[in-house]
Amino acid sequence: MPSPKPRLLVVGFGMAAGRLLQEIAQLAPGQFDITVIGEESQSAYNRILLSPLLAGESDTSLLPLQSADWYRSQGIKVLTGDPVLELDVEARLARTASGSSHSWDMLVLATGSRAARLPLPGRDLDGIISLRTLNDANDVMARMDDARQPARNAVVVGGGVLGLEAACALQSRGVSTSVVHNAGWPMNRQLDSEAGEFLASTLAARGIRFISDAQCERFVANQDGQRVAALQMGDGELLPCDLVIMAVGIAPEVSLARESGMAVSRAIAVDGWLRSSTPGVFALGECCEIEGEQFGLVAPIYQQAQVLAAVLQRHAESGLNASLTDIAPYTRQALPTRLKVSGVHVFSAGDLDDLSSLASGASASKRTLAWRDKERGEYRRLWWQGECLQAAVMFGDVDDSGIYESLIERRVPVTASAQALLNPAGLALS
Amino acid sequence: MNTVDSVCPYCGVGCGVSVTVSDNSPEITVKGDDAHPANAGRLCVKGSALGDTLGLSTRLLQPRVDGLQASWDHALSAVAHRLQDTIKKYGPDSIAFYVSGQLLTEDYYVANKLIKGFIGTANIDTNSRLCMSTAVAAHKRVLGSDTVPGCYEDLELADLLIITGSNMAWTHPVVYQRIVAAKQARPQMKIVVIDPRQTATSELADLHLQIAPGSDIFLFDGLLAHLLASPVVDDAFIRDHTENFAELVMQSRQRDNAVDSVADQCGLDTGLLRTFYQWFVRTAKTVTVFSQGINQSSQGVNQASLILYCHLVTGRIGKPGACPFSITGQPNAMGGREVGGLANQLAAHMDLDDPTHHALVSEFWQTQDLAAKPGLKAVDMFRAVAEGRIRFIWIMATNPVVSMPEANLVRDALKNCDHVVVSDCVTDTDTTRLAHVLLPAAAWGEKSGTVTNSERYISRQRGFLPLPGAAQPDWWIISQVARRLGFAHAFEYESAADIFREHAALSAFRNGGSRDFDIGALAQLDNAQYEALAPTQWPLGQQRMFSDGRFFTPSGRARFMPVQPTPLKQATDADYPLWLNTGRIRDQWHTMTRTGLSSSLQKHITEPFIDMHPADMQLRGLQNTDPVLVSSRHGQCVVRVREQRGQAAGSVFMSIHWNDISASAARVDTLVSAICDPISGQPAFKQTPVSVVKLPVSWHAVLVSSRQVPVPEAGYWSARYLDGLYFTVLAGDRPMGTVVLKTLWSDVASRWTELEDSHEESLRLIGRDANAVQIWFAMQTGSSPDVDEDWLIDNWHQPGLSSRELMLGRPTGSQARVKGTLICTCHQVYDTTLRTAIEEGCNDTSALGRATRAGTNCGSCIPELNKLLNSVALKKSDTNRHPNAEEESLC
Repeated sequence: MPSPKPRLLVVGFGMAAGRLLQEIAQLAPGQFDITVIGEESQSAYNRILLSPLLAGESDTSLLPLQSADWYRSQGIKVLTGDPVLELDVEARLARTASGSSHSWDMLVLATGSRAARLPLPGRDLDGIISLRTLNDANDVMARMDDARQPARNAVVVGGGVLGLEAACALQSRGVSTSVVHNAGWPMNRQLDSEAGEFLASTLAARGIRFISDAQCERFVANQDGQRVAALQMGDGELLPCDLVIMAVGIAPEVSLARESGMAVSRAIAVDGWLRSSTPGVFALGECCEIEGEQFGLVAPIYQQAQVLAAVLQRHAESGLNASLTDIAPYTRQALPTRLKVSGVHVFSAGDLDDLSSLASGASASKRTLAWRDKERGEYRRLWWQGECLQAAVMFGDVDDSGIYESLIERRVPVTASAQALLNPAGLALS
Repeated sequence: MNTVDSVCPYCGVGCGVSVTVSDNSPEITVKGDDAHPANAGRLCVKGSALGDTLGLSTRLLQPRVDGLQASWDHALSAVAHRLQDTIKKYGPDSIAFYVSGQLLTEDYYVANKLIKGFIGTANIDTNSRLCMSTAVAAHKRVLGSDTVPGCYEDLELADLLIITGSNMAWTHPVVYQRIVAAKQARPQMKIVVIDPRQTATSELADLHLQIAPGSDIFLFDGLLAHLLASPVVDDAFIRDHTENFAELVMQSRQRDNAVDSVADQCGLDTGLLRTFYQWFVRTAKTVTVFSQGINQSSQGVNQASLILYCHLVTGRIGKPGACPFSITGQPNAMGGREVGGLANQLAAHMDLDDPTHHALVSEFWQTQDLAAKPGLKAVDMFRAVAEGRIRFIWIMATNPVVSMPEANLVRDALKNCDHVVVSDCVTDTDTTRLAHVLLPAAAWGEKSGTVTNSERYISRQRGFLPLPGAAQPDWWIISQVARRLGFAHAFEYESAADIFREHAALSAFRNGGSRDFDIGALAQLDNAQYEALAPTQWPLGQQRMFSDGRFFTPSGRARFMPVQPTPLKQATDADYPLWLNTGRIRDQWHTMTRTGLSSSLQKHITEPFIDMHPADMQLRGLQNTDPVLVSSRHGQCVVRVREQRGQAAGSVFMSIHWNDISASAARVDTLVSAICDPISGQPAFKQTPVSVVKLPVSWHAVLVSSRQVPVPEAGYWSARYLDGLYFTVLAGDRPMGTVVLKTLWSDVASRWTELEDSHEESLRLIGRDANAVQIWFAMQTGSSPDVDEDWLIDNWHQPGLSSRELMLGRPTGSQARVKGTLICTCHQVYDTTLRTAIEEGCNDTSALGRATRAGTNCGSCIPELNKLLNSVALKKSDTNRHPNAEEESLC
């Protein structure tokens, strides 16, 4: 009689979990008895497509990562709309909101993150929405399409990638939209100030008002005191709105881990093999951190899924004490960013945290080359660290973004030359 | 369609061209004239590109007086008044004309007649002074007349052809090609090239004597001594047709001219020198072709005389395949000599200091005021301008601010001269910039008259284009001034034909065989006959002179005048350790006012340069193409150094073509000392002590613009015009910012695309006006920006191209290719293509021609093709011999 399969419980059913199940299906088909439990009512879907969905450029049929049939065929037990509320790591038991219990031999936390909210007076008023889930997107679309009282004016709080995508989507659907941002230019985490200016003028050309270095004071309710009617700024200005999208960042969802006594700093601390401080418990995606690095983009999370699948398989075959040294751990990688807005081409890659402290070309030590064509709204800037390309920002014309991404990632020496800036495809590299 | 036969306006070969003008298309094709005796249909690369040079963009089309446009009447009156005023104040010797071998014979005749015959001074000299006056002086001294004894056919018939002081393959390509063909037909024909440089010409030589700079005179003195001691001396000829031979022998014997010591003085291997002397002894059919290497020397007349002596003592003159042969540099240097356009000549090969000639010409011209004493030769003339002895100078068809030695003194002299009149067909030259009165002259293709080539062929230069703007032929301009000076009776010409008839009549006037130059038979030509005149050699129907042993000295004998070889008047020293030699390059002519308009000619050698031996470069820490500062006691130039193994160590070479319009500081004659031959007054352009140091530059740049724009401050720049765009390369050491550049060019462009660099190591700009790209600029440190000129020209107005692609300045991806150096100008074939073809099996020039078309039109590049074939073959045999060469060198 074959020994029973190890029970693998996956808590959270977003893109990280979805990807992990795919990796396992590929690497170790049929080796686990898998259960996946999600809070949302859908199985894992492509969250990245929510902005295009909002803009009317995608539809819900394109969202799911896998079909229900696929999960069935893989023998994966899927529970949706039933969040896990409690973990007992001693007993290796998870309890859900509906009261069902699930035990595990190995547990993966893929609880993702929640939208951050500004602690402003009036933050609970109706019409203030964070765009995080498909439900959020549906809610926003319902308000825009409301036959009786369609949303006319929107304020997006936060001028990062998500906020700008949302703003463009709303504006393109006829909602007059402003963006308030607490820094000097949009996407300041990914772009230098000059690219930010190009982006701001593109937003302006689309009719979106972009307010930089904004201080938000409070949300103002309408006459019935229920719905949001305006956002009041630090200088007293009132931005009238019947819809507010909060896009001020994300907070890792770590409550289960914290309550279970696992090591958590800002997110669940795991090592390069995604192991938490509790044996047999792993975490990946937005809810985890590796050596202090947190994750919000899909590429590193997909890499984590690949590593974790191999780790789980090893444990399944050789026990929890098995050596992992021959499995390549997760390694930090360049994080290119592209704005998913039709007709707006923005690219950013490289060591962005460092860049945000640099005004364009201001640092004396950091070599940077820039090219600009204001008439055509095209711009690109490269930064070097020593002999290697450290970062690249492009606006308007992003044809060569893949090349820069690869150059930054491979850390090959690149001469700082007009060629590197204008035609990197022609670079002769060793 | 209309085909007109004319003559090429470049070198002294005087090739006939057939020009086809289409009635309904602006296209003009220029081909070699199959019927012309000089070239029989051949043309060199410059002649082939004549059609490119007929545009009006750089032309002077209106008279200008004191900077303002003027009518002809106003301008001519201004010239006449200022001239009269100057004579009144300072006398006729305060007037000077400085004219040119580019003038037609008729223009030349009228200029000479006006100043010598009526203004009454012989202060007329010509740029032929810089080129041919030594040959003239030697001919007159030894032969009694300025007569070139032989013809081009003699060069083909010779069994021994000596080419001394001439890179004919580049400077007289069609005659050179005739020699190549003769050598191919008769490989036993021997060719000796005497030149301190390895050149395209020396590629053909059986023996190249790479002599020390300025040592020619010792070499020919040694040859003469060797001949005198040999059985080849022609005693009968010497007895019957020469004088003063005994003294020649005596003097020769007193000098140390044994082969060993001559070899030592010339820096030659004794064996090689002896071989040359032996060949000369045993070859009856010997021709010695000499040109600027002999003429442009402080002892030019003596060394040219020695060449003549070597031919006279062996009786090798006036015979088929045996003669000394001076080949001239300019299209009408010979015509100018015929009319007496030099300060020490009178007219029609007559002499100023001969009272018979003076009376004869006075009578013929019906003047009382004929100049009685020789005028100032070019160098002295400009010195007199500087010293205020000449107050009025009229410069015609030449650019002395570029071409005169100590050219900065000439520039400063003209700046301070009371009256500078310049007749030219080009608006902006270094010389027109200093003119008070500018007179628009007709150019080649418009003017009509005659020229004489190096073998005494008079050919018609015919106009085939209408006179543009207010331009007029030079003879008309001069005659109009003459009329306003009150000499109307002597200048009532209605056409060039009128002038030619008078010139021909003067040559025959009371001649009776006493003077070599007699074309009296042509004095009766009517206008139609003149128009139809076929190329005519003088003396009429006579290929060779002196076949009868009769010379134009008083005694009728050739004269052996004493010659004393001396070392050069200058020496190299610690401050100026290198000998500078100067000369022409293959695809340019003079100061590039014409050849500079042809894009194809602008691609062979693209920037001013100095050729240097690798050892001298290493000594100075120089890399190929580094900008360098070249200094002499007189001036400075900034050019790019080119590594040349064919350049002797200790000697450098620069070309004469670049000027202040085309480069920051590349007028080579600012360096050259005005040290002249004491007899001919011809300056020694071939030997100037100079120093060369690296120019400190940190950045290199390329500027392209659709019209001429201000050049940013740079230690070095040079500019070219290619297919509608101006290309300027620059280098400097003070960094520039975009703000300065945008301000500099704010008149031209207002919309900018730019590339900036935090470390200021690169900068690029594209500037547009409301409609189109106007300026393209790329600067970087380290090396020059890599630009594909042809691609930029093709894509300048390409609307589909992004600014980023345009800013790169060359094709991306698969279109990108390395072009290399242009070898064949006619078919635009680059060395990279040729090397590939050679690697793929083309092993001679005809195979290369079939594969790439290189060398199949004018053939000017064939010496370079041979050089490439040899170098590739050499590389191959090297690798065959040392398969492990690399490993060995590591041991």
